Amino acid sequence: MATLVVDTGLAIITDRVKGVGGAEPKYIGWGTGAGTTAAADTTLFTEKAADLSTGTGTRVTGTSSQQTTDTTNDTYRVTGTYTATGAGTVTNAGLFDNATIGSGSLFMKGDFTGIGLASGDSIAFTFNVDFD
Amino acid sequence: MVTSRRKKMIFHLHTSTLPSMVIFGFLGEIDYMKAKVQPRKLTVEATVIRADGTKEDLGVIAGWERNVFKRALMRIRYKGRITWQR
Repeated sequence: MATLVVDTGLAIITDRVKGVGGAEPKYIGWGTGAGTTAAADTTLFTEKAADLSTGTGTRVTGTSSQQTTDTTNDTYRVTGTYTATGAGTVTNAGLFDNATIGSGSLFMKGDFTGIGLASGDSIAFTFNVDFD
Repeated sequence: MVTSRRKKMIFHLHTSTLPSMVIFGFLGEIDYMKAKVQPRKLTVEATVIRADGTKEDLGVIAGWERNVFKRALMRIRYKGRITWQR
């Protein structure tokens, strides 16, 4: 089990600090594959759409905010709710800078004990990146 | 011939690096070297909302702490939660 701002996520940070472009990484993806997150990862483990079976579609657009954990605005937070339209087990999730599955760059990724979902179930995710 | 300075380096390796490797190995921190470029803390929290409206607050389901002791504590909490989920 691991959680990381992956290598492409570090590039997103420097791109946005320098102002050379790039979209905000506020798009939430989920996956059903097994594995341990590594810094070199550029995708989720078997990313799926809301139906938990299709590998194409649209990610959930999260709501981003700056939070104060220790010092003012030291934390980047994205919240969003992914609703399953089919059954499956979600094993990993992450943030991307693009809404389309299979596109964009991965920013952050975490793998965890599988969460079993039936059609109509949802997961309300909160991603926190505390830079302080 | 082992110089005094080299002896100190060897001593440092044995007293500092090796125990650290054992500790980090024990914690399963294969991403230890990557830790230096990571933010202080990362968390993924989740609340499952079942189709019938029932809510299951899972809390932090994935996370990482730069501080090794807090990271160990976080792992213990995860293990407790996994047991609880089962």
